[in-house]
Amino acid sequence: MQVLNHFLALRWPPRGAASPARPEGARFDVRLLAMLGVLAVIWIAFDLLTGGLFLSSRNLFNLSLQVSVVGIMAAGMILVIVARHIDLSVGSQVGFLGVLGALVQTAWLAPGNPHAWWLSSAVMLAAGVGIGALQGALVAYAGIPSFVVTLGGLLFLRNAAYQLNSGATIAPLDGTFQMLGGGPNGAIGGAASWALAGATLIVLVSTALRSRRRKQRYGVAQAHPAIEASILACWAAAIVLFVIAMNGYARPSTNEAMGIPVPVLVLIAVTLAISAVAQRHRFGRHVFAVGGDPQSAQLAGIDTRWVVMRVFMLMGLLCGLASIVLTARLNAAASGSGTMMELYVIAAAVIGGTSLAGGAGTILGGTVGALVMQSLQGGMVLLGVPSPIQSMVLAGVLVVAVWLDTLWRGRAK
Amino acid sequence: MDLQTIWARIGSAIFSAGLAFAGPNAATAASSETVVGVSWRYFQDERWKIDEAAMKTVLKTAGLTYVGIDAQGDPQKQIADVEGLIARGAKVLIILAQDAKAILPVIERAKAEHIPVIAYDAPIDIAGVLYTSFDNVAVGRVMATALVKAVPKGNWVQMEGDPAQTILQVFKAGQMEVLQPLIDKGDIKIVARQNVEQWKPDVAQSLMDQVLTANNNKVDAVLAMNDSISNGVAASLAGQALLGRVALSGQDGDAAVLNRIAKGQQTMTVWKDAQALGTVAAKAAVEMVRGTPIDKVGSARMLKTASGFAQPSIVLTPVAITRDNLDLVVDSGWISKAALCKGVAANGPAACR
Repeated sequence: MQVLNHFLALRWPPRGAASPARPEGARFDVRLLAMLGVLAVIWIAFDLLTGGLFLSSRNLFNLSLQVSVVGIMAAGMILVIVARHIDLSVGSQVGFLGVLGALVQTAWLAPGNPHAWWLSSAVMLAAGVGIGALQGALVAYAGIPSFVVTLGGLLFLRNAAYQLNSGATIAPLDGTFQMLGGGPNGAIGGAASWALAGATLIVLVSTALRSRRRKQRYGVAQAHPAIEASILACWAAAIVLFVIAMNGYARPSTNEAMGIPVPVLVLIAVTLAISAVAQRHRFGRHVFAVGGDPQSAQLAGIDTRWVVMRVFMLMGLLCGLASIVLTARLNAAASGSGTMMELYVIAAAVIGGTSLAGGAGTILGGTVGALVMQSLQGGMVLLGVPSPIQSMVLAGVLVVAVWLDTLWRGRAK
Repeated sequence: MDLQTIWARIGSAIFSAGLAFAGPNAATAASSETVVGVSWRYFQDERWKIDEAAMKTVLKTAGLTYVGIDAQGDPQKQIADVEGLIARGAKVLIILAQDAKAILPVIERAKAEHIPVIAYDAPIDIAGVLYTSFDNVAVGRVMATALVKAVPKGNWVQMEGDPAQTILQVFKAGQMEVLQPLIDKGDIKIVARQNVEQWKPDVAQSLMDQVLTANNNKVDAVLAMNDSISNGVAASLAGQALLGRVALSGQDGDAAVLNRIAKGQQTMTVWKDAQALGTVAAKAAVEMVRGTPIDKVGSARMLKTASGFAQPSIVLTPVAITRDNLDLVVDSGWISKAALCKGVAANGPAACR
């Protein structure tokens, strides 16, 4: 749970050497804070324009569900980009794995098999890792540029998805499986949501206290208690408001609170886990090292090729997870699902501050980037903005976000 | 900017550079045979296999040889394909054109060699070609009519296809022929209108979630332009326990959609009987081989192309499939009764009894 420290401090990558004068924990990731500020402005503006509809529980519930697929994949894409590669095949992977999983349920298992949901999910995840391993090996060991390998993957897998079931859509899917998509039965309910929020708060506070005590013991400089307490309070408020929003939405034609939908739990778990890997695990450090300066990383004894291959395997695993969520939510597997999604995932990563030059990026930033895009899109639909205009606005936001980021990086140097 | 197109171009460039890919069932024709050449624009849709089978049956009965080749969505490859078919000595060409204008140079060549051409399913914008297709204005008209029958008054949502495709306007023209008078009268209120990028179900689902939120679920009918879109809309409606309570249209006759109609969860889908179209085109080809001029073939009548050329045309009307005539799709072999009636309760439609 050490990763929570980094969430509390809102910062990445660690810049200890660059600014030794400032105490640990007091360095905010100003960029991420600015993005959260932009997000707040977008939300408030849409809420005013829609007469309170945008910040209603129901819309926030929609929004959190809609953001989960792209958010899950963005976490992996950020590591791919940090390692100076790209994966254009993720949208096709989602389509292919969806059809594969649906075939496991409908063609290979008897209908109504109680194990169908987890067997098909396991096959999808395993196949995702397999695809990642193959593409990763071609990039890392065969030395083919990742742009080419994954462009091949994009074309191959989209057509393989078609070929698997002759292009026919498979629906409906297993009932238990559908819960993984956050449908009417796919949320954990009000009580469980509060219990989860309570547990998270306890972990947050105790981690912060333990960290303070440890730093005190070793005489490491610390942030002012008031600063740390207020950061903690912000996180606590965010968690409580989130649960209130999710619980405020009742199951259609009942009074039961929906609570946190399963895909959102998956997204939160993925974001926390990949953040932890990126910041604390040796593998994550190696990814940043390889992306920052591949030659130095190799000279430092890092097996750079194995690192790259594992990054692609992780991306495949996350594509499997995203495909489970998307397919279960749609309650149908179509060979065209996920078309162009690679572009949204890359856009989320880039809006979230990942540098296409490699070496820099934050997982949480990618989630916020996905949230910014989905908020704009969902809000414009509520306002009845025609779809071509929606896409034009999103395109503009993407370019402006990267432009601002370039200015920011230039100033920081 | 259409990135999808860019990707498709890169993809086809790689394909055509690397492989000389022979299309489906590209048989080598012996010189004694009379060949009917068929150029498909993109064979990777479920339905073209049905068209192809119908054509083969008719041509085989007439003692002609079918030679088909797939352009894989590339207008340039399609031109090379058709040149190849001409070189093989095809007596009639059936062409499903990827692009109504880009195909014209090779059509001129065929005309110079006195090879009659049948424009199949999609238009070719030139005089002197026989056009066989479904009436796409009627697709929209049939769709709207069936939905109006189910919900004559109320709040309607229009979920349209990808805005980059012109066929959209044709479908829409047919829809509005039926709807505009009712909108003017105040019976029908269009509460939302959205385009679904690439006709993708996952996109349609998110859009429909937002539309339902914006209208507080007060939606009575959703005019979904095809079955892929209706799959996404159905998932969104199910999320609000509205599936089966909101009228929903579609187009294509996908198995999952027909199953929903049997279950009472969807109102209709527009069905274009590919077998009928394949049969009509192949029969026209047979007549042409025997020397009938193109404007005297079958039930051809003169229609105008987009650029105003007069073209003899055989246009079939699509059918609205609802709960009451599901037997049509079963009897024609489009779908098995088992697939249609999977999960249907005891009081199901007649076709499932």
